[in-house]
Amino acid sequence: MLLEVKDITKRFYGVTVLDKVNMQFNPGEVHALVGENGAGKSTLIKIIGGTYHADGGSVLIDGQKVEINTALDASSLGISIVYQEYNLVKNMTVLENVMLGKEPKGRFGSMDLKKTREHVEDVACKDHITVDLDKYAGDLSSAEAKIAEILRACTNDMKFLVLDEPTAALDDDDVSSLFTLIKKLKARGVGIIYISHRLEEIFEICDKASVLKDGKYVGTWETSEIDRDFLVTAMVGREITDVFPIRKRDHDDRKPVIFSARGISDGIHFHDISFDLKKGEILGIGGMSGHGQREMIRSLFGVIPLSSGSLFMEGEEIRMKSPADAIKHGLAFLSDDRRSEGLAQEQSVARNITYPTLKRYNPFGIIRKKKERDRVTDLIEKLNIKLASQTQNVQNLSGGNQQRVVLAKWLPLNPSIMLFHEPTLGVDVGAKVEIYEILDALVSQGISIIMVTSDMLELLHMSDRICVFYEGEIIAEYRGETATEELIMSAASGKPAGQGVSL
Amino acid sequence: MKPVTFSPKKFLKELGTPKRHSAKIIWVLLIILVIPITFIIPEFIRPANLANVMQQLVPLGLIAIGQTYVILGGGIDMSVGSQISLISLIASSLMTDSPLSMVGVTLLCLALGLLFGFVNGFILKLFPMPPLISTLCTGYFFQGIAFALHKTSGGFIPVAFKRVLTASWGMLSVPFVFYLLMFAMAWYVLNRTRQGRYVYALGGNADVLEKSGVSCAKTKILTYMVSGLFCAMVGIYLAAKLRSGSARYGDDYTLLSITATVVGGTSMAGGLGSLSGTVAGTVLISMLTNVLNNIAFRYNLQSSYYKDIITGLLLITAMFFYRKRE
Repeated sequence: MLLEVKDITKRFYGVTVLDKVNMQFNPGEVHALVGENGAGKSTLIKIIGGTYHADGGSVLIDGQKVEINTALDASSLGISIVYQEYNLVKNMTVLENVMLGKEPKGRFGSMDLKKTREHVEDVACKDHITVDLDKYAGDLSSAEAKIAEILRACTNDMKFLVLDEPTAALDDDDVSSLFTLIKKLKARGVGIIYISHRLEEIFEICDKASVLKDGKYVGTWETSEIDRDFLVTAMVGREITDVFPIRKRDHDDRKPVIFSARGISDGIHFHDISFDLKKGEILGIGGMSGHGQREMIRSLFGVIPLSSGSLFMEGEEIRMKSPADAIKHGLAFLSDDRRSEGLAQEQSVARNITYPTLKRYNPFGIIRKKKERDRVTDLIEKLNIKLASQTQNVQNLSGGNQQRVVLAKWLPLNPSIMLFHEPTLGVDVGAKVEIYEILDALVSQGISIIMVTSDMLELLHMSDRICVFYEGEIIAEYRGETATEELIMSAASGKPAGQGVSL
Repeated sequence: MKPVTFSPKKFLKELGTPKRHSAKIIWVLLIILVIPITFIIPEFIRPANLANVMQQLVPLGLIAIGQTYVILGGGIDMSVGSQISLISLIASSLMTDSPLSMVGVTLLCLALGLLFGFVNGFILKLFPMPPLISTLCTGYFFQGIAFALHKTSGGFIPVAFKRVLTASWGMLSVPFVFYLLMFAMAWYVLNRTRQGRYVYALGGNADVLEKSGVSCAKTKILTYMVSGLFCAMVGIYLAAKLRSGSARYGDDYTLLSITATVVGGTSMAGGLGSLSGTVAGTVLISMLTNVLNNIAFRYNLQSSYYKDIITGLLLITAMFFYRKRE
């Protein structure tokens, strides 16, 4: 059986997300699908899985055109998809989740629970999958949840299995047990489409790699014939050195420390974190996601209260009870979740930009329209935001432009410290380059930046110093120019190799 | 089958940390409450009074079963009260003395109940919106029709019909036995059939259900139809009991049924809870109502206001208590 996509085109609100994509997937082969955020990988998968409908082109099985309109269509054709997002019903057991929608019938309209269990145990045994069937899905670790979802896929008579970023939330041991499982499925003749951002995984487990860039098909290669740099260049569409500005990193000890944290914890997600932030530097924070970085950066902005420890601004202790306090002390926060924390999606660009400054420029609470318009025009020009008009809704802007709107919102407050969480999430390469240039410009103006990111290249190329989080603590610290991907990855999985620079 | 063993220590531990779908806490609370009540108001455990409570809880009990289906499916039905009232008026307007009419009108009303439920569900399929709003709207709609039919209570229900629906033998009565039967059926559907499992999945994570190839819209419509069917039953029963219909019969039942469901441990977010808990919630509310009535009678007070206060407090307390679980 051969799965093929032909001339697949998909548009969202007039934006072409997939442009005549052609690919072929063979049985018994692990085929990587790579590309940057927003390249269209997930959209392609959702078309194969029946969640989206293509605006053009077709899906073929053994050369025959097939209609996939629902998830059920896909699974009856033997295509199973394990999506990136959590896809289990938390308050149901693993067994109930695995068989949802295909429970065998018993008497009086009931379900044959015994047959269900036997069937699932059979499948699990055959593919050597071990997971507690009676555990509630909500109590599973992220690795167990992934395994449960793969088990669900296996209970269908599956010919193709799509794994969308399966390792995003797994640690090393879990990844290796997942790989063992993938190898078994492959040996059984299942074709596997593997999406991942971790390129080293692709060279470890995949036979072929196809690259998507900005919705266009770039090419397919045997992984044995190419190397990492080749793949990255194909994904990015230009040499990496062209993406990142050349940063001059001088580790001048005379630079004043502007902000420091001493032993801060929130009692749950992160513990005993201490660091100093110097004037005009980028402090990169790396590590696997879910190790407390998210909460830590929010606590610096007063969103999550600290349970212990203290914060100092230019040597004086400050208290951060709310974002209002943080803004008063000169902090700004750019969230990774623009939809819910960054911008009011259904309101105009102008309104979004002026929210934090309304109080400052409009005494007595009366908004002066003309002045507002002028200031907004100014900022839009300065940050090169591309839009139809100031009154346009934010939600129709591209990710890169949205991120610039968030910047425009904060800059008038003249922050001395900017907190970035995933500054280039959901942003295309062109916009990335510009955001990196903006970051560099901000730092050279003397603004200090703390940047939490899961993008390894971004972390390595932009940071002056890098702190790696592991289980809520800083496990290692490196200088930006000497850090390597290997050093950071091993620290992020709890085994720091070599010596970092001491604090 | 696993051997059934009982260890008090484990039981207490389970009470401290509420398990999914378990209604043990509320049942234990109920039993604990009965003790002081029997001391303060000995009348409470008299057989006559207990029989009374068992009959009084039936309308709320039935409505709460339907409401539990809807809430488990991640929705809420704010129109139950109006549906009851409207059905009671339709029944009392159409019914005549002939047995054929009694059976025919009953069946018609049950069919209408299913239709009302279908409308509630179908609106949500057509225009996705918060069910709180949509069912509030349909509720006004149903209530409006009810008022148009009769401004005050009215219509006619034959004596024979009332006799059949309210007959009793000692502690047992037709409505109570009917309630037990309905509970058993509803429990079977919810826990032993696929449709029941889909209701849990719908409230737990509709996306997963849809991706498993099950139509969420269909499942949702089903839950509202179950609720509509129970509303029709209660509408007919109340009309028979009072031998007339009224546009106000159902007024209290909307909030009471939600309270019974939530107090019984069903999460307002859906996907978590049990019918057994809802029964306990129903019994708790009915018991408190009865006790309040007894106290009010003793001290010559107006009891209905206190009942409302207690219901509101109960609902908030239950929400507060269960919030940690979510």
